[in-house]
Amino acid sequence: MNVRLTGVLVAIFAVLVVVAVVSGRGSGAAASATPTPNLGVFTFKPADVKELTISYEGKGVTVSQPSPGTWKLVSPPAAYSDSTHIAGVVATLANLQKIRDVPIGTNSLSVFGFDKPYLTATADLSNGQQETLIVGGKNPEGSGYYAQVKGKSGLFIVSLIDVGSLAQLVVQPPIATPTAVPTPLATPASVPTVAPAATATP
Amino acid sequence: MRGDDLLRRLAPYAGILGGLLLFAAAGVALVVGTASPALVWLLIAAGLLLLFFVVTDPQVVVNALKLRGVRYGSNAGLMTVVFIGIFIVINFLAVKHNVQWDFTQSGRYTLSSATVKLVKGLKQPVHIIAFYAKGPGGQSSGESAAKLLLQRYTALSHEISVTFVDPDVNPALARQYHVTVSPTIVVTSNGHEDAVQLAAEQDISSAIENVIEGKTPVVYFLTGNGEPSLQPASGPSFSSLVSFLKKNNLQAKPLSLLTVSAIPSDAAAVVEAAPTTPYSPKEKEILLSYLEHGGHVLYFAEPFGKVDMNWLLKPFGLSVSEGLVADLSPSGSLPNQPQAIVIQAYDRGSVVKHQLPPGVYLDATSINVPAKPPAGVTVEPIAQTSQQSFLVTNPKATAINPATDKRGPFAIAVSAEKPVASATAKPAATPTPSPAGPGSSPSTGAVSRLVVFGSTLFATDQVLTANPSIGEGNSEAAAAALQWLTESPNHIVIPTKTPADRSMVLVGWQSNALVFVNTLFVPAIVLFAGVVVWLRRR
Repeated sequence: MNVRLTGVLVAIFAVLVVVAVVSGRGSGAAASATPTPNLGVFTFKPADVKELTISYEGKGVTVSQPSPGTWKLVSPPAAYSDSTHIAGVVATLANLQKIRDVPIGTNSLSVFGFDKPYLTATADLSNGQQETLIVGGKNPEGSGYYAQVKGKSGLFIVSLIDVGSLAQLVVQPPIATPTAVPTPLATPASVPTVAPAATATP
Repeated sequence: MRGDDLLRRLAPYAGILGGLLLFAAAGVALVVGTASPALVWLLIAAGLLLLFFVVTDPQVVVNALKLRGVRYGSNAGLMTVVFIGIFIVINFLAVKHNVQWDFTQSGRYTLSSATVKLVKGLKQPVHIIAFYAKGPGGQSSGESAAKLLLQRYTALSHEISVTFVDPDVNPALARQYHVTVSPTIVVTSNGHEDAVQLAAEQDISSAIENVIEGKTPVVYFLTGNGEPSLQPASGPSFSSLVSFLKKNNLQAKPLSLLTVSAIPSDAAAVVEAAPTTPYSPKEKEILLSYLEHGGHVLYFAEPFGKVDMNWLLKPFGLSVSEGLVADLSPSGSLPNQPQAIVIQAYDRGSVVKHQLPPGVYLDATSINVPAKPPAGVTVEPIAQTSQQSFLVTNPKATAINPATDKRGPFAIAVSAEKPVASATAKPAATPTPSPAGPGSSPSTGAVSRLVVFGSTLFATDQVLTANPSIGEGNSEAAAAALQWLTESPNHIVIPTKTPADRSMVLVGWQSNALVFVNTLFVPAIVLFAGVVVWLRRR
């Protein structure tokens, strides 16, 4: 039984542990494992949204859900609304994913384009709460937009496609073209014939 | 007393059960991987049972520990645990601290002597800003490798400083340096700056050399033969491209070959685009002499061009086709515009070193690339059409005729390079002492470079300003070509570090010997050693 060898190994192990602890302390937060980021922006579901207002380039669109699954264009008013299209946009907002979080640091929010927001989307929820997405400028690479949730300090980047889909609701309000219901043509029982008038002879 | 007896009788069972529960807890921990409630309860139960076993009958435990086998076993177990622990801690330290030793024969991870000389000779501060955008997990592709590379530069000279910036976090700084792609490495010194997109020694060392020389490369756009104007005009003009080049640290100047006897010596590259009137013999001679003596030329061709410029391309084995390329592939052209070729992905090579945005080539012709280029010439296609493309050779045709029109793919942008022949590496016979072309005193290793685009319209204001997204893609392609062309002929040249081929090909008997050693000899040695130890201990 070689107790001395065991002792030497224990001593080496102890020294290495001390070195690891000391060097790990210097690395600080950077050394800690990066937590898996939560990339979802909102926690509400599309069905929770009662009303949605999107403002973009000085124009706005408001849609509401009068009955579950049915969406209606409130402003600008329209006789027929494309409920499927609106539901798709609401789902885009509810399921919005961040591309990444961005630490603000000492920067002013105007650096990220929030002095003149590109777009805002406000969702009134059935529980009485309100969630607002504020979209700022494009990131330098042009791969996404900076965005924030009103009342929260976090800044993040969302995809061009998602923001484009929200803006499209304003650019082209979801007005549906009513589909004409074909009605059978009434077949006249008898075609009236017009008898030529008797030509007056001079 | 009877109660104590009962407890003592139960104690071994409690010990066994406690051990089994401890074993089960280890299994749960391995499978689940987190501290689940089941694991906690298993550990508590195991702990209580083992404690009951020890407290109820401590003498059994003491006796067991005194056994020789247990003492040997516990020492061996402790040694094993400590040995594994040492490996774990060493691995942990290795992950936390990046240290590199270059044991490669070619020195792949060591800066070349040319870079060492350049950096050690710096007499002014050089600041390197590496823009690396991070992904969702906070990691950035290639940033660690760039850090290691740039650390080698900073270790050589205190004049070099390096900052890593996330452009998404600091957009103001990114915009200040016109950063639109990640990664971008900006090298600045004394108000001069140069940007590269590749964290490679050749690119960074060249950028350092550029900024310390403090020169803005001049690109001459030829005029006088009906070429597009550099100013905004009603006809084809290059004003947007000129602005884009300025942002990329390239200066554009007009030049008429009728007014000079040679290309000016400060020319980093010369651009010729779709001339409409023929060259005079003198103009031809000036341009050819420039190119042959290590000049760099960018030529924008057009379908059914009014002037045959193939004499310029001939030394590289290239020629421009007589025809218009039309692509019927849905992704290869704009909808309902088969003559508006879309290049979704460029061919990576000397010119396109990183991914460029898609480009739209309106009214393009094809460039004929030889299967076997002339001796010493290197030809690389930059952009190619799809297999569903056709070359319409009849200028009056209004539709593609698959029966007669040649089928693609076609190269619509090509780069070519050739070393300056020693016979031409002599002062050009220029009648006037100044200015002289770069060929007048070519350095050793000087190369002539040519880039040909099959479309002129693609780089004009008419296309670049019509659609910003198309404009960005087209401008970047043209700028990439000019960046390659304007690399100084005297630039620092880092030799290619090709890894040595270490593969071993075994002949029949060697392969058999390897199998014999691995499957029979080594196990036999172990078995023999075991038998010897057993006999000696006995």
